[in-house]
Amino acid sequence: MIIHVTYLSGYLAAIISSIIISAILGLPLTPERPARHSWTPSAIFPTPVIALGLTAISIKLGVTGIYGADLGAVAGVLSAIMTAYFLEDIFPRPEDS
Amino acid sequence: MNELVGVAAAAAISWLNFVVIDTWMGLPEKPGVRGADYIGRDIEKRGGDLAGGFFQGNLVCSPDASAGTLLGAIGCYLMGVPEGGLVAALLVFIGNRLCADPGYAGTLGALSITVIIALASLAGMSPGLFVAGMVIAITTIQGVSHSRSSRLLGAIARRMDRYTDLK
Amino acid sequence: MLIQITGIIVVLMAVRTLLAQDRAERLLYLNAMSFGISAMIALYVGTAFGAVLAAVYFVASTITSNAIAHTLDRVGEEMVIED
Repeated sequence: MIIHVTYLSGYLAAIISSIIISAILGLPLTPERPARHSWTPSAIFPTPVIALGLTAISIKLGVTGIYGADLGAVAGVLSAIMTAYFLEDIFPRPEDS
Repeated sequence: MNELVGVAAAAAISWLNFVVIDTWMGLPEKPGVRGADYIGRDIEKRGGDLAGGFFQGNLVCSPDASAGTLLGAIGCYLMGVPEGGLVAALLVFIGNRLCADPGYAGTLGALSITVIIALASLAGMSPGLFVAGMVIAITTIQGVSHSRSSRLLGAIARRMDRYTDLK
Repeated sequence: MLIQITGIIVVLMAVRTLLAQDRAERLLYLNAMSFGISAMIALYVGTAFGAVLAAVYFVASTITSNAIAHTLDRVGEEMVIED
């Protein structure tokens, strides 16, 4: 049973960089209330999830960098760019919402 | 014998994880897609509760916290904690968007079960128990008696102020 | 032993699907069964790729069930013209 705590700094870097870069790119900080029905991409929903997922995938594939920190920062930037500009094109929201 | 006790405990924990998160995320409130409405009203016709029926219909028609819990447990079992849970959260998010759902319930379920598995491993429970436990948990909701389980889900929805307003 | 537990659940759900009469009821048993099959894929393959396979299978089966339920609802609404 292995808990990989060595890459904790990488995950923290991914979360922080994704939130900061997506706020800079103009995404709202929180979705509108009630959050569970909202389709707007924001700085705290899907951006950190995508960034953490990309970081985890590259750690599993062997590309770790310096304890994952630089990897996390790059993944955060990529995820913020993807959410801000491409998410609505890749996954359009359905018509009746 | 120890493993059976472990699977039972993991089943109870997974059941709580996905039912609480799904109810909080509004699954009993309204059907997310048309198919969920069909299943919900059919359960009501067969003697169940409408909000519980919408919950079960939403379970079938789109990945939600139940899928997030299962795939998060599978990820943690095969790829280690926490990488597996994070990869599972990303895959569940993509699956949610493909099924016309915003994605909050599924990713939250995957992330929370990752935290739970990390804590449970300190108590000696391996992630594989949660994989089998989640299958048992979903079977108690969808495989035993739809009317009774939908009434239980409706009562939980009422308690958490997520009961449906539709008729 | 985990594979045996999951396998028993899959077989039970399949039998209940065959015996049920109502179409929506069958969809619920099939959904429970696909949870079981997805878990069995992961438990049997045993490597990291198995997790990806299990996730892909599960999402695909959910999309299928979504399409079936949507069509059942539409079929319920159609009117048949008798000649």
